[in-house]
Formats: sequence, C-alpha cells, structure tokens
Amino acid sequence: MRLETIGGLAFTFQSMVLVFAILLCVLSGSPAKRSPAFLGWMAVTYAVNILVWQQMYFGHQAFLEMGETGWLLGFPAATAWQVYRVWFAGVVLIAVYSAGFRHYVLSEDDELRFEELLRKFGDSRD
Amino acid sequence: MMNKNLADNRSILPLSLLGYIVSALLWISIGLVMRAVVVGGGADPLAQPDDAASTFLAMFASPLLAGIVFAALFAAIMSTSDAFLNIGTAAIIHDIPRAVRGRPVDNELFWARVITVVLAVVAAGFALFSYYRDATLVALLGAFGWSTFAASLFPVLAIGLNWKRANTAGAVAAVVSALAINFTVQLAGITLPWGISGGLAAFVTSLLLFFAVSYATPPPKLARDIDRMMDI
Repeated sequence: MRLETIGGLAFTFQSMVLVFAILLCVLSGSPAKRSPAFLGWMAVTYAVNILVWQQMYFGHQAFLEMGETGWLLGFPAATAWQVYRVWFAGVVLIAVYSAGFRHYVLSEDDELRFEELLRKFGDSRD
Repeated sequence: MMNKNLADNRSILPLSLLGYIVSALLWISIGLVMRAVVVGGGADPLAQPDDAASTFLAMFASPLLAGIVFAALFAAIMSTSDAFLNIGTAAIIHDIPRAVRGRPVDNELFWARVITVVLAVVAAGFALFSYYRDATLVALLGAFGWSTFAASLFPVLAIGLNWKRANTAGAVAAVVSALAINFTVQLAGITLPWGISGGLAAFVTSLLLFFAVSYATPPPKLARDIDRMMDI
C-alpha cells in the first residue's frame, strides 16, 4: 500500500541519487582526464545501475499487480535482483577504476609529481 | 586503505568489494534462513530481529564455529568502539582546541583519559535511551549513527578535499547543521513528511549549506603544496 502512494516518487528519487553518485564520480577525477571514453564508461555505469534498480522496482510492482512472479535461486524475481544483482551494479565502476586507473585516476606522471611533492614538502608538514 | 603505493588501489578496491559482497550475503542469508525456519515451525518466533544471528549460530553451527564467530563479533565491536572513542577524544582535546586557540589543552594525556570515559558513557546512554524509548533495533541505531557520520562528513571530506573553493565556514556550517538536524529528529521523535529519514534531510541540508556558505564567504588561502596536490 505504501508503494502505491510513494512508489513512483521513490523510484524517481533513487534514479536521481544514482545520477548524483555518477556525477560525483565524474567530478572526483581531474578535469583533464574526463575524456569522452571516460564519460562513456560513466554512462554505462549509470545504465547498469538504473537497469538493476528498475528491475527491482518494476518486478515488485508487477508482483503486486498480478500476484505472480518468477523465481531465481530461491527468491522471487524482484528480491533476487536485490540480493544477487545489486552488487553487480558496482562492478562496472570498480572495473573502470581498476582497468582505467592509469588513464582516468592517476597516471604515472601524476604519481611522480605526487612523490616529488611529498619529497619536497613532506618534512615541513611533520 | 593505508597503502604506501597509490597504485595498489587498483587491486585493493575490487578485493574490498568482493569481501563486502561475500560477507553481506552471508549476513543477509542468516536473516532469511531464520525467517524460513520460524515460518516452517522449526523454531519459536524470535523475541526481536536482533536475536537472529545468535539463534542461528546456536541452532546450526558447531560450538567451535559459533565461538569463533562470537569472538570475531566482539573483536569487531571493540575495535570500532576503540577507534571512534579515540577519534572523538583526539578531536575534543587536540584538534578543536588547536584550531580555536592555536594549541591543544594542557596535560593532554589526563584529559584524553577523562574524555574517553565521558564519550563512552554518553554513547552508551544514548543507545540505552533509544532502546528503552521505543525498543530501537541495533541495526536502526547503526543506521542513525552512520547517517549522522555521512551527513556530517561526506560534504567536507569527499567534496572539500577536492574543491579549492571550499573553506572553513562552509565546513563548519555543513557539520553543525547535519549534527543538529540528525539529533533533533532522533531525540524529539520527529516524523518527516513522506517517511523521509532525518539522515537524508541532514545530508541534503549539509551539502547545500557547504556549497552556499563556501561561495558566500571569502575563498581560503591554500598552502602551496596543498594547492599543487589538488591539481594532480
């Protein structure tokens, strides 16, 4: 009953939270590294996240309306999305971070500059 | 993630995620299994959901395994409590006085011990108050604690450390507003419209104030090394 009154609002809100999270990921990188490829991967990350979320939400809605649901590994479909696949939503982002670390997060030049700054200023901050 | 080599994060992050997935699924499954056992008549209904893990271990695990899990649980509780008491004490007797008057309090060790005990008593009192007022579950108290933590610190740490325009006034406004909203909602038992949690209201307010106050007040003068670090 609660889902009936605020469900749509909750779905929209969570979708916006996902946008917020992806935007924070984009902003956390250096502006110089926000290449079209990086932005594309962030879009893929959002697409996967929103797919999992909409499957959870609309799977539950469909069950409420029809009283029937599919099952996966012991759980109704919507719950199975939540238990097993919500974790998958984060995998794309982690994969981009790990595989694209030198491209999008910290290049070898950046690391050298960081080490140099530590050598130069580190002692003065002890 | 206190690794010396920054590039190690490439492997640490996925491994952390994997560990989190496995442990979370284990704990979720304990709750689901106990629910199924009770519904199936295999066990009496639990007095409260917090009893699920201990009942599960007592019913289905060998005493040795149950003992190891309980020891690990207590170790986790103690290490978390230790860490937060130390952080709180260090902030109260060292960081805040140093920020306000330029030096920490005199006789730091003595006051550190006193404040540690005071913080422990206040935290225990708050937990007992919440429990006896409306039998708040440990999980909900945890959610309140983390929402307070996140609302207070996320804007300051996640954004402030990456944004050169962030300043002291913005950070103070964010932390104070988040703490005030969270504790007021929790202690006064205020129910927000549409079931919105106090933590969310605090988080959004804190975030907006962080930006607004930072923009409305003069930009900070960053030390040269910090400024160059933030360019990387």
